[in-house]
Amino acid sequence: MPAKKKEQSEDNIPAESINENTVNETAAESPAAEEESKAETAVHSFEELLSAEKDRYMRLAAEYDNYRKRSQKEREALYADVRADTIVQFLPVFDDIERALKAGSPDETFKKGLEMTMNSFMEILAGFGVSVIPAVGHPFDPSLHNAMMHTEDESVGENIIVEEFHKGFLMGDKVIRYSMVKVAN
Amino acid sequence: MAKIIGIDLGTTNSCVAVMEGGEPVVIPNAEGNRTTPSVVAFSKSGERMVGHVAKRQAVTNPDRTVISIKREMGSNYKVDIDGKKYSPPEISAMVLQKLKSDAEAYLGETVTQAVITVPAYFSDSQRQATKDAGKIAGLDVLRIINEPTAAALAYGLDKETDQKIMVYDLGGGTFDVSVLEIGDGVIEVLATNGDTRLGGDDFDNCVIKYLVDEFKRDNGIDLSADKVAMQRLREAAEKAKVELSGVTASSINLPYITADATGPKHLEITLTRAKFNELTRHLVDKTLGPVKQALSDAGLSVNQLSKVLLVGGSTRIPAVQDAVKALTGQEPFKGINPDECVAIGAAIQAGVLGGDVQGILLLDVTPLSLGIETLGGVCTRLIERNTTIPTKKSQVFSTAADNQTSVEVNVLQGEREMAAYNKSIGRFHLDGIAPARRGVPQIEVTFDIDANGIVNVSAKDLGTGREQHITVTASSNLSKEEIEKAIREAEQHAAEDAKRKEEVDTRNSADQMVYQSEQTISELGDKLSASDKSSLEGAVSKVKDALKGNDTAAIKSATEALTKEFYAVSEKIYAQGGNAGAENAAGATGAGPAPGGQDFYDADYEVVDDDNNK
Repeated sequence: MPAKKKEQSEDNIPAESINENTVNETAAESPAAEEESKAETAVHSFEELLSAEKDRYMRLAAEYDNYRKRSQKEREALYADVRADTIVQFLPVFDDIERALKAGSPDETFKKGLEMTMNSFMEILAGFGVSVIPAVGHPFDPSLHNAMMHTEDESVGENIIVEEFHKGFLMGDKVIRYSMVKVAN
Repeated sequence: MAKIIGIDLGTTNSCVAVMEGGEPVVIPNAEGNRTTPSVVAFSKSGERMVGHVAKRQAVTNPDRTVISIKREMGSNYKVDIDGKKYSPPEISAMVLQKLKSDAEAYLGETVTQAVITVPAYFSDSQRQATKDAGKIAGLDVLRIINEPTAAALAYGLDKETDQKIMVYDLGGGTFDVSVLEIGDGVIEVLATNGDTRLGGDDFDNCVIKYLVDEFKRDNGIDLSADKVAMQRLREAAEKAKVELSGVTASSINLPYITADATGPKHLEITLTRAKFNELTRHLVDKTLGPVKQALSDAGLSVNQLSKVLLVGGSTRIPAVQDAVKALTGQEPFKGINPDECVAIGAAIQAGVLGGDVQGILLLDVTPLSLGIETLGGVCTRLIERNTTIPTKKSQVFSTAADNQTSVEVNVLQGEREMAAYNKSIGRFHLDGIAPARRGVPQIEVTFDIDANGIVNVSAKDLGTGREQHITVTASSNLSKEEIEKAIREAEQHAAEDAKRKEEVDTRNSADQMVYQSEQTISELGDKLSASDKSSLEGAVSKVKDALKGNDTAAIKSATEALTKEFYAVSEKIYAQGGNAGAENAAGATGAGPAPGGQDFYDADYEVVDDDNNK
């Protein structure tokens, strides 16, 4: 700073006097200029306020729009989702009937009755668009099956499902319950 | 501008949330779940899987599946997958990437910034590793906050007076307890302690062991050798544990659990909450040591705690809550979903950083419904109570009598069906309505409430364009007690109000039907046969008689009979109608559009009496 000052005074005395003049001029204009700059500042701050409010408004509008679109999608999916959730709650009953069938019975009539019960259940499921996910003998696919156990078995290929603990189901093309399986290799 | 998300990057499960409309919202993942397993896997062909799908194939692919990577963050540990090495941040980044893209799908916009939580005891290098993970995932991590701090934010404690609190976090596989000091909007961690190998799974294992032992005692068979049976037991044990948080006994039924020489065997055991507590007491007790230690490290006694917050799914267990209460003397805070409250706190912090939270909060609502008085002394609501303001609602009304040239708008506030029981907050007239048959003029009444609760009610004659309005300050009229009283009274009197409204509606319908019928008779009488005309007139006079009395049922049945007659007659007129001409058309319009006539009035118009005081 001192260096600069020196330069100034060393330089043009005319410059100084010019400066003085300018200073005087500015001094003369002062009140009017002040008014103007006050107004300018006010306008500027209003402009800032306006653009901030505009931004908030746009953000809110966008959020609302996205919310609306999403709510619409959720609403459309709701009916199917609720049906799927309800059916899943009944599947353990299906599992137990399956186990009962597997256990078998010496009483042929009883066995037949159980088979008919199972068929009836399957028909109802089919009516809902529910289908069984193919498992045993098929390649393991984590988007359809849930691997509970792993084993080594030379008689089957790589990544093949060898056992099923409970069946998996699709409703349309959506998995409502993953097959619980044992995978080989 | 993009939203900043809040992420709880957990050891076993992760959760992501965001501020929406001033409220924190948990974002479900692409599969629809509110939490995502922190599991990463690579298939044999190099395909990457994250979350539930990775978990489902973990058993078949253990060498290429990574779990609990959080335990290695900040260390030089490397995961080797098919010869390629990954650092813990790189693995965590894969989880974060999935959370990021699920959030983007949900929000419908790109996400580039996040707040991520870490345990309070995480060192600098562990925190840096978490930040790095975010960066690799394409997220600018604006802040790393402590998990217990996030919980405190979720409960809004940073806005309260200075206090010391404890956060008790019993989650999937770890137990963490922290003592925090909150003051001047700043949250400081005073002490932390815990058990890195204690969680919900341990509670399940206690139940499984009990079931195996009971079954062995009853059947002489050891189920623990049967992997399939054990899987069923595990599922049933977890289900029972969850049920016992709500009920005091849960029956565990597993038919055909196994078989021996004598045939199939079933497992049928009832587990009471008391027994469950007994089986798991040692686990709950294991948490008390760290709690005491944390308090001691913080230099506090138990009475200096103002609050205790519960985080983590296992804190839903009643025995855990009871133990916390017994030890701290406090009723623990559990209002926010314990699996989600850390992510929610992170979202709140994200909102503050993004300038969101200050924006849209605290919108006001109208405390009571607003409406106007219509024919029969009924209150017709235009704005329901608890509608967020500012708001604007219009409805078109009409006149009640022929040649009615002015309508009185009586502005009402309240929940009762009948105008007399609500509060009149303003009244004005609109006149200069062109003389016409009742129901023909269209008067649009608009309620416009601004952000300050000032109500502007206007009535505009859509025919002449004339308009009148008044301004009322509705909400300042009533105190909170008065509002609650009004709502309560409306509920108590709901039945009688409904009955009275029905009476009025029935009268109005009857009146309308009489009017229409008489119009038809006078204008189109010559088109009718003598017998039709007299039966119609007879039906009309029956309704008029009924209207003299107060028997709603009688009025209703007489009206129905008249309506039937009227339709029958109208049909005949229309059948003839082809021959007529302009005259008939005019007449028909005068009588009102026939079969739909009644409904048209009810749906679109409510008639406004000239002078409702009568």
